[in-house]
Amino acid sequence: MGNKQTIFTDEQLDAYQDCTFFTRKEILRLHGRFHELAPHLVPMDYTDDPDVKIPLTLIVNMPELKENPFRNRIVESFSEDGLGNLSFNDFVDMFSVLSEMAPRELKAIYAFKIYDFNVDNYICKEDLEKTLNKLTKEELTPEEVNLVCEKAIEEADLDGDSKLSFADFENMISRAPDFLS
Amino acid sequence: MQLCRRRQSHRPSIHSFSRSARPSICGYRVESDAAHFEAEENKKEQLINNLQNLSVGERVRMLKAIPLNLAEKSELRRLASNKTIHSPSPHEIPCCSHFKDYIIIALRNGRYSWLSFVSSMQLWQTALKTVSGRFGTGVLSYFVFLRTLFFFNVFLLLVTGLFLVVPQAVRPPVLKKTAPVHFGLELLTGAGYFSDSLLYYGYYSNYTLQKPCSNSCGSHLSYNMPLAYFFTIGVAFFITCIILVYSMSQSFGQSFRVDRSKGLLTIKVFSCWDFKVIKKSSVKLQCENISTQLKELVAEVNRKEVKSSWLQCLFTVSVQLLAWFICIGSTVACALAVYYFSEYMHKDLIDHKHSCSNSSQTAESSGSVLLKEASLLALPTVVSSVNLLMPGFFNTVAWMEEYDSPSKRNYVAIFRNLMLKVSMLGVLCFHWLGRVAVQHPKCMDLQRSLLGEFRGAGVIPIPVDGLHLHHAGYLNWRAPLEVSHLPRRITQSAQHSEHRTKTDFYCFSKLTPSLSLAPTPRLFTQKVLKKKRKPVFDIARNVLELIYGQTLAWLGVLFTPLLPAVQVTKLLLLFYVKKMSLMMNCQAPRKPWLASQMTTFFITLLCFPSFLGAAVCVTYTMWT
Repeated sequence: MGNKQTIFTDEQLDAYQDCTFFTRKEILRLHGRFHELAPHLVPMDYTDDPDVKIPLTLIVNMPELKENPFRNRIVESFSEDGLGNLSFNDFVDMFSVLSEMAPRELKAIYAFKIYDFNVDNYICKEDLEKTLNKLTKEELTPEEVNLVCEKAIEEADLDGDSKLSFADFENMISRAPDFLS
Repeated sequence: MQLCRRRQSHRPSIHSFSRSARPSICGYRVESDAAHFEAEENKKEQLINNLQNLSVGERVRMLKAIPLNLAEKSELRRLASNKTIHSPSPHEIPCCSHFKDYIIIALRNGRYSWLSFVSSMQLWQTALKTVSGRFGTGVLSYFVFLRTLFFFNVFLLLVTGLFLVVPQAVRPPVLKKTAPVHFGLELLTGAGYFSDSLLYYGYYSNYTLQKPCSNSCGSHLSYNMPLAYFFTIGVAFFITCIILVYSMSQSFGQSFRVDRSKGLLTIKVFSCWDFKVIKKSSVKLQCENISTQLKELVAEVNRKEVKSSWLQCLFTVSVQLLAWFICIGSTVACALAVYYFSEYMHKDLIDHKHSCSNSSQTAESSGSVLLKEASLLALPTVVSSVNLLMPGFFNTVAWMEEYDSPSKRNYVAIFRNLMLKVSMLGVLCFHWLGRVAVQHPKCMDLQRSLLGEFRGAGVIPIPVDGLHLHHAGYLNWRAPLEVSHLPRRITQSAQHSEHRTKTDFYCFSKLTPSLSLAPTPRLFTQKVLKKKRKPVFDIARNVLELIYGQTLAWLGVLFTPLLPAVQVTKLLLLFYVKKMSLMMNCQAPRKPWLASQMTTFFITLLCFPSFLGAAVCVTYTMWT
């Protein structure tokens, strides 16, 4: 079925297969989904690597992401410009990392980026507050939020700069048995 | 080894990994200084060299795990495989790789559907999540415990059903025809029609079941009923014991692990969220769960030590001692009351039998039979009402005490209820095993009349000697066993028929109170006590009731192999009734508290007083 597809060259498909956790069929299916999001923008022929980006607003309406409280951050973390406009490469990359086959270390790196709201490579207290509010849909009182953030930073911060670097984050996550599973 | 991206990109691509087959990727930073560009290019060369030196499989695995964006990765791949280029003919590869793709996708889909099937098989998963989100982990532990008990009973039911009920149902013994008396009380007392059924011990044959051979008997399909009975019960208890001890050790280990790990809060914040959830209601449920758990953790962390003066301390301690004294005293009083009442009922029954046997046996009016059946219900009613009212009394006493943490209050309540239940069970066991078993063999007339009345003792009229002689192969070792046990069996069946009736309508009578219990607390508190607030779910009382019911089930399974079925039905109904009443009537505990060791505690309680006591009683009964 579909031996002769004209969307990608074989070389491109091989490269996708080697660099992501998807097989050729899944890459083609992903292209179909990408195309569905913006049929007038996305060409069917990707053999010459067109530079087409889909805006954030269209991507976060996908059913897989719609109810996720962190959808904006996820899409922003995988975009080149940091604003959430994804090319097809970024799109594939995003789903590859979020898929089951991705190893824990890779997910940890991207999780850190997702939780880092102000993109300064540290999770500071404001980032944690925003994370908490998104997690609990603002059910906690401000005092509770404050207390949780302070306690979390106190527990995880190893170098004493009152914000979490990636090393602190990874150290903490390594103790959790089912992180992002 | 570091790699850097062009400055304008927001996707940092810096990682470091050691020269190993499975690189560990840790830490990265955005390199925006152009001065480092040259050094980074060198490092890129080094990376490509590394990649080249690996085998193809390893290279692919490493490439996939690099946190760079795709364009860079494919560039790396191209450069690395430049030296080892082999261009396969475009016609060979596609079909093989298509086939491989199909297989991989099929396997993966199969694995996912299996995983989702397994997780959906977890009984009541959604209900438990809803309860835990709204009411906290304390109430959740009750429902988890209920589910555990449910599984235990299902297992017991399977074992007894497969090995005892099914063979007996296929070959029903010959019984004397009797006209069952219908008064409608049978459902509660378990006597009358039910005494001739599979429900009771006496129905089960005391001989080996033989399949009647029609033409030529090639091989006899025989099933040794008494032996099967004995061994099934023994093995079921043994396996239950093992499972209990195993689950106890598992939950011990879990609770210790949870305690020892610092940073529980952080872990909860960062790794609790399940990104695979996409349905709106599930997302809402998850948010509720996480916020409740976080609130509980915060409350734990936040608990301040209130330093009170000496006088305050003394006052508190003396109030608590007084409360304990009252509770223990009332428990002892109830136990004594039940003891004397049971003695009175027993004497009454014996007198009644004597008067019946003295006068003509056939002239029994329906009215007196009804009275007799109803009087069998008296003792269980008394015990049930004690079990119903005393925990409420304990709660009232606990109002005047002040405990600084809700979990301590819960533990105290559990202990008081435990004392009550243990004393009740002790009195009942003494009544059954001590009084009923001991007094009957002395009176053969009494026995015969009892047998005639309960009718489940179908074992007696069978001329066992003759039957045993027919079974070749069994004669050697079984016959002496059977013969020596015969007299005991006869008397025992009489006693057991008495036991089983009491045990069973005990358990039946447990059903009705526990079902009706659910809606009453709210009505009670709102109308009688004129309180505006909804009551809080009383964990201690409900858990102890579960353990109590389970102990009775274990005690009774020797006499009534179908008792696990009753228990399974009861637990199933109880789950839904309790959940419904919880959602409608109760409010969340005022102070959220973390019930980390509750499950361990409940299972320990189940194992030690409950299961051990039941096992000891059953062994004692089987031995004598």
